[in-house]
This record gives sequence, structure tokens and C-alpha cells, in this order.
Amino acid sequence: MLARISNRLLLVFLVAFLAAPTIAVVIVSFGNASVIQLPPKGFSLQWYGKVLTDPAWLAAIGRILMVSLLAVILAGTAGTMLAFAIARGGLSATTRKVFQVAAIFPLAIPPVVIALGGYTMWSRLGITNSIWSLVPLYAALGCPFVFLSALGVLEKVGTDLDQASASLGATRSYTLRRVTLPLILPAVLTGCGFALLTCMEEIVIALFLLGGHSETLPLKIYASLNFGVAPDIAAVTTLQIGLAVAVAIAGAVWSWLRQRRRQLVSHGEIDHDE
Amino acid sequence: MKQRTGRAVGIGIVSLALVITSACSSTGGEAGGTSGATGGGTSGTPTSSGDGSQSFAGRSITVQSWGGAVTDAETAAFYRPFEAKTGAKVNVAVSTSETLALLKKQVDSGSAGWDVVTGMSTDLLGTAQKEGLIENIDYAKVPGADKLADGAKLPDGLGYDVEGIVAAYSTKEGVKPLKSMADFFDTKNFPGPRGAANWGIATLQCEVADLAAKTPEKDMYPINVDSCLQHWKALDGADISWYDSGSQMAQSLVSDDVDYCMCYDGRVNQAAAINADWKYTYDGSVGFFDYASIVSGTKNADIAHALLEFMTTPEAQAAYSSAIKYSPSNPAALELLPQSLQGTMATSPDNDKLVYRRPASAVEVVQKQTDEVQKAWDNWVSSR
Amino acid sequence: MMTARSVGRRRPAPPLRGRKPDRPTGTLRHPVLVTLPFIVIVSVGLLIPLVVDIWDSFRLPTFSLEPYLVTFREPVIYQSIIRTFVIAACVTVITVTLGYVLAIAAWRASGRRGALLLLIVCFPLLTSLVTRTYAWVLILGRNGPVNGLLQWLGITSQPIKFLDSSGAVIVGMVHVMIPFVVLPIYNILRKIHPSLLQASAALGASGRTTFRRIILPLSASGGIVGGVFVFVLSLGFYITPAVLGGPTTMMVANTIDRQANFYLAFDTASAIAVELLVVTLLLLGLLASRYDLTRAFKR
Repeated sequence: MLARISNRLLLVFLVAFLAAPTIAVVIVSFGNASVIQLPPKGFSLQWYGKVLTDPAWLAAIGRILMVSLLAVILAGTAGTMLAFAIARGGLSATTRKVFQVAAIFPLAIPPVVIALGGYTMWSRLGITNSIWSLVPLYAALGCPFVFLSALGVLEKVGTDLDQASASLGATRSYTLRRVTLPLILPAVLTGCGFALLTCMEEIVIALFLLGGHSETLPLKIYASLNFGVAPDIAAVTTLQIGLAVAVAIAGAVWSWLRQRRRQLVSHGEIDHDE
Repeated sequence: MKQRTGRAVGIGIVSLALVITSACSSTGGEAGGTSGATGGGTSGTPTSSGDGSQSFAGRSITVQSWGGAVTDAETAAFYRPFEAKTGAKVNVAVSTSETLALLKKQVDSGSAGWDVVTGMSTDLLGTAQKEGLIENIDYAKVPGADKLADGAKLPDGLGYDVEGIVAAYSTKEGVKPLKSMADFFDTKNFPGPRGAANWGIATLQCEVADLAAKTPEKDMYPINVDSCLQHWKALDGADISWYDSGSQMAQSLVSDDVDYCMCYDGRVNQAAAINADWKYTYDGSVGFFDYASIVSGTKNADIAHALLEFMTTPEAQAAYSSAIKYSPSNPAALELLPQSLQGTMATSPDNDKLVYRRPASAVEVVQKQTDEVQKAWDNWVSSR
Repeated sequence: MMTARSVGRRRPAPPLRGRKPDRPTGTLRHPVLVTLPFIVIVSVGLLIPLVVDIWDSFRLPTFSLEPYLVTFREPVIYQSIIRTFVIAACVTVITVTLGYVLAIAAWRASGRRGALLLLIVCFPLLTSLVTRTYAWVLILGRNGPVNGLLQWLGITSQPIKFLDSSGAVIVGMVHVMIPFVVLPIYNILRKIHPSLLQASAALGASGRTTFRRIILPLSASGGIVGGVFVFVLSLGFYITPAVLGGPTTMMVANTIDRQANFYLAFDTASAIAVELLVVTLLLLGLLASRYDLTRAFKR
């Protein structure tokens, strides 16, 4: 009996421990003073106003978006193509194993090691302080996410539909465009989503390569932490959290809708083609 | 569950991101703007107007600065007026503790980056000179330097302000005010959390400790690392907050994180504007110049020299000091300051008597010791 | 059975002299070409930086082991290496323990609540690391709720300085790492057949004995995978020790930063980086050779 209560308490404590930081940030962001107050003495949206209209914050958000999107496009292409090569390439088992290890290799390296090497590499090429120097490194970082997703779905889907399409007379490129890619697109986009998230919150590599403290959003947040923990950081991070929550909810709703659709189809209530 | 959720995560993020990007495309164009803009501009010859001041219309220059309130003050007092006067565009690049590394990378790789660096201490100057990162200043182009206080005119640096490391204290309930720097090291009579800088000024902090321990000047140089750390060990067991930047220092005072601080006077003033509890004394303080230097290999040496010359003028220095509350290095600027500020400056006649300056004869000796002292300091701080 | 088809198949197939068997449908003609984009990106974005690190660390082209020797001589450096291992070990032990509790709770809980618990555990992964670290600055600060609670309860009269200490760094890191441990353990737990638990109870074993003798051994691989993973990740942490700690808590990544960007000692910094890389790859390689890592983190 006592064990159960203490187990329960431990669990409650753990959940609180996990959730508390996120909640704290959200609460602080609504404070009405110019310094951090936890709990805040008054309610105000001033920090959201400040952050969303401050050109410095907006510029930081814009820059990281540009760089991350470009990196993710590159990673998405390379990762998907690599997944094709592994799943459909007819390569020997050893070659496949080597590439698979190589594909998730970026995940295994501590970012600071890449950051230092990348910094030195670019400076030897004469490039310092350029936001675009981040792109190849971020792309390399994002490849594993896309690769794993794409490989998973390619293996699951198999070549049956490709064969069906070929036997109906479709060319290889048609099959690729109209059959295979649409099938794997959701998974690829999932991988791209994770890659994008990773790039948009990456700090260490950006810190080494850019040096100045406010170029990208995560760097600006990190720099602000040293300047002084004003609630504007809380507002920015709450917005990020809100975005993540919104997307998660959207995803859940969408999958629920698809689930419903599948049920309705299997019950014959709606046509498959609708 | 996560896989299906994740799919929508991807699509939702990408579409939202596209929306935000297009909305931000105007601000996105600043990507090359502030930090890291190349120093080269068009190669026009400067035209001089009648009164001898030059015009650099169409050209630009990049100046490095240490961020926060300091950069704001420099921009308002030096860079914008300079732009208005000469037509040259001044880009400001912010960096703090990695400044030397960035400078070295730029100079070594020959890529144009910064033209002028600011906020250099004599120790930083020594390292930069050793690595070949800065050029000597052609003082024929900077005649105003002769009017500055002693020690401001170094071959490779121009001292544009005087900062002081002072003993600061909060006047809130229960905190005993410090009378001098020696009190900062006295944890028995002045208990309470305190703060000090840890951004690479170990030689200065040794001098402060030596002074507080009343070391005779002849014994202070070359810096005896062991006795320096011995003095600092008086603070063993004390609650010390180490600051990485001046802004962090000011913020810490504003939030009352500490009761005492071995602080930069300008930063205490900055904090006191928000949190009026903070005061400081110049007794036992050490004063030093902030130097501006010209980066090796810059293509805009003429604009750089003109900027340095501008930074020596009393009006510009008075504007700067009013904003950041560091002392001007040009004595003539003191009179231009508002009454209320005049007594708070390190170079005001009253305070000048209390503020200690490293003698010119010791500058080179200490420059050679910089690495050794800093390493010993780091070892001590990290193993407290 | 004789069918029309089997009758027609009397002729032997033509010999495959020097002819490759036809590719199955959907196979690529030039698989190696298709891997090129990946090879290019990983070379520029990963391999070359690594090579540069190794190059610098040995002071090539003139070979020297000095940078590596420095890492063992300079107190600042080797102390931070030791400290990193100690902190990583603490974080691992705490995280695996707490992770087990959470994983078992999620596994035992009925459907919805289990899913909810997992959601709460994994949700922080969507927020950025700096956000989670920043939150701890808020909570553990001098004027934060923890100090406020302690003072309100009368336990302390002055705020305690929690930040700038190894303790704060460990708390922050545990908070970040828990999801990485809960998932592998949970996935392994789900593979335990419920009949084993029923049998154990039927034979009269208490809950604790069942845990010790059945659940723990069967799920140990999940704990090991999660634990080693957390340990390796912890070694390379930068943000959390930088924000929640101070000069006394510098971990290896912070030291690399300091050596490179403050002392301009790029060769020493590279040497430390290579040492970190070698340890990371060794541990992960050992782990991957014995366990299938891709399965562990599903969901």
C-alpha cells in the first residue's frame, strides 16, 4: 500500500519534472514586467508584440529559415536518393551495410567536432561569417533523418506496385513520378520535418561558424541568455513550443481523419476514389 | 502514433516556414548586412571639402564591437555621426570572447572582414600584434591623439575611453557598503555573494588584487602569478558569480543576483539606471584604456584612420560617455558632459587620484605574460 | 501435377554466359550514381571537417604529438575531461533509473494513459534544446520558484545558488535525456509476453521479485542501449553546461570552444575533439555491434 503511494508520488514528481520547464517558459512569457518574474505579477502580451515586431528577431528567424530550408531540400534529395540506392539498387549486402552506416554516421558525431572542423575548413577557403556556409553542414546533419524515413517506407512498400505499373505499360520515369514518389512522399516529408527541426534549433555549429551572436534564431536566444534573461526569450520559445503543439495536433487530427476515411471505405460507405 | 503525427509535422512546418520566409524576405536581405559584411567598398578617391574633412561617399567600412549597450553607445556617438560627416557607411559586427579567433581567421585567410576592432585591452593588443593581426597606426592622420590622456596613444592602438574596475556594492537592506577594493576581498566582514569578470582580463585582476593587498609598485611587475592567486584565494569558499560579458554583468546587478561586484564602472552605471541600489567607489580601482586598432591588410586604412581621428574629438567622446558612462580619454570632453555625470568618471580630477594606471614601462612586460597569467587564472577558477 | 505450363517448360533455359540476370522491376540502373548527392554532401558537410580536425590535431604536415600531450598536461583540459566523464556517468545512472520507472509506468498503464505518459515524455523532443535549458535557468534561478518554495516553506532564509554548479548541469541534462532512455526500454518491455508475468504471479512471486528476476533481465538490453546512448550524447554536450554551469563545470565541448576561440590554440582544440570523437565512435560501435539500434527508437 505504502509502496503504491510512493510509486504514485514518484510518478507524479517525474511528470512534473518533465513538464515543469515547458510550463514555466510559457507562464513567464506572459509577464508584464521588464524582468523575469516567476510567477509573474501581471498578465501582458507585450513580449509577443515586441518579439513579433522587432526587426532583429524577425531577421534572425528569417535567416535560419532560409538556411534550414535550403539544407533540408538538399538533405531530402540526397537522403531519398540514397534510400533508393539501398532499397532498389541491387547492391551487394556489404555495400548496402557500408552505406547504411555512412547514412546514419552524422548522427553519431558530437556537433562540436563538426563545428570546429567546419570552422577551420571554411576559413582555409577564405569564407568566414557567411550564413550560407552553414548549408552543407546542416544538409549533412539532416540526411540521416530523411534516409531512415525513406528507407523504411521503400522497404515496406516494395516493388509490387512498380511491377504492376510496368506491366500496365508505364515507363520507368512515369512509374517513378506517379506511383513510387507519391507513395513515399509522406514518409520523406516526415524525415524532412525532423531534419528541419534539427537545423532550426542547432546552435554549436552556428556558434563556431558565425561567431557573432545574433545571426540565427537559436543563436540569438543563446546570446540573449547571457545578456540577461528578459522575458522576450520566453515569448520566442513559447511561440516555438506553440508551433510544435499546433503541428502535433494537426498531425493527430489528420491521421484521425485518415483513420476515419479508411473505416468508412472498408465499410463501403464511401467510394475508394473519393 | 508518432509516425503518422510526424508526417503532418513535416508538411505543416514546411508550409508555415514558406509563409514566414516570404513575409520575412525583406528582413532576410539583411543576412549579409550587419555582421560579417566585407570591408571593401568602391575604390573611389576621397574628395576633400573646403574645411579639410574628407568625404568617403560610396565606400563602407566594418567595425567590430562587443555588443549590447556598448555597441549602441558607439554607434550613436561615433559611427552614425561619422557616416553623416563623411558619407562612408559604417557596418558594425558584434563579437565577444571569440573576437581574436575570428580576427585571426580573417587575416590568415586573407578574406576581407573587419577593418577596425574596438574594445582591445593592452593584453589583447599584445596577442594581436604577436599574431600579426593589427597594423600600426599612422598618427600623421590622427593628430587628435596628442590631446588624449597619457597612455592613450600606443603604436598599434588608440585609447578612446577609460574604463575602471571598481568595487561596487548594493545599498539594499542588510548589505554593508564597501569602502574600497580591499573590502571586496574581505569575506569575513563583508559576507554575501559577489561577482567578477571572467572574460580574459586576468592581468588586470591580478593588479587589482595586488593593490588591495597593498603590494608596493616595484613588486607588482612582472606579475607574480603565485602571489596574485594567493590574494584571490582569500575568496575561497565565497559565492562568486563569474561573468562572460559586460552585458551579463550589468544584468546580474539589475536582478540583484549579487551583493558586491568587482565591476566595470560603465556597467555599474548602466545597471544603476534601472536598479538604483547600486553604487561604487574608485578607491583601489584600476583604470585602463579601451583601444581601437586597425586590422592587418585592410583596404580601407584611410577611412579607418579618419574614424579614429573622429573618435578623439571631445564632442564625440562626450556623446559616447553620456551614453555608456565610461570616461572619455580626451580631458576636454569632460567639460562637455552634463553636470550630473562629471563626478562619476574615472578621469574626473577627484577620482583620477584614486584610480591606478599600469605604468607605461610595465605594459610590454605584462603583454608578454598574458598567456601565462590567463592560463593560471583559468586553472584556478575552474578548480574552485 | 502436370499443367499446360509445366509441359511447355521442357526446354532447358539458355545458359547465362557472361550475361547478367535481368534486373527485377524497379531496380536502379546505376545505383552508385544515385548515391552521389549524398556522398558529396556528407563529404563537404562532415568528412572534410573531420579530416581537418585530425589534420590540425597532429599539426600536419609537420607531424607532432604535442597537442595530444598538452591535453593531458594542462590542468584546465584534463580536469574538464575527467569532469565530463563523471557528469556523463551521473546523468546516465539517474536517467536510466528514472527512465525505467517511467517506461514501466507507461507499459503497465492501460491504453490511453500509457500513450499520454509517453506523449508527455517525448513532447520535449519537439522543443529546442536551448528552450529546455533556458527553462531551467528560470526555475533554478535565485528568484525562481524553487528558491521561492524553499523560502516559503521556511527551509531556507536566503536564496540558494543552484545555477553555476554541476548539480544544475546534471538536472538539465537528465531532463533532456530521459526520452532517449524511456523509448528503448518501453519498446523492449512491450515484447515481454504477459503470460510470463501471470505465471510469475501464479507461482507466488511478489512484485519486486517479478521485477528483479523477470522484467529486469528481459528488458536489460533496452536499458543498456538507452544508457550507452545517453552516456555518449552527454559526453558531447555544450549548451547545457554553458548555460546552467559556470567556469567550474566546463565540459569537453566547452573546453574545445575555449581553446579554439579564446586561446587561439586550434591544434589543441582539434586534439581534444579527436579524442572525443574516438571515444564516441568506440562506444557507439560496440553498442551497434551487439544491438540493433534502429529498432530501439521506433515510435
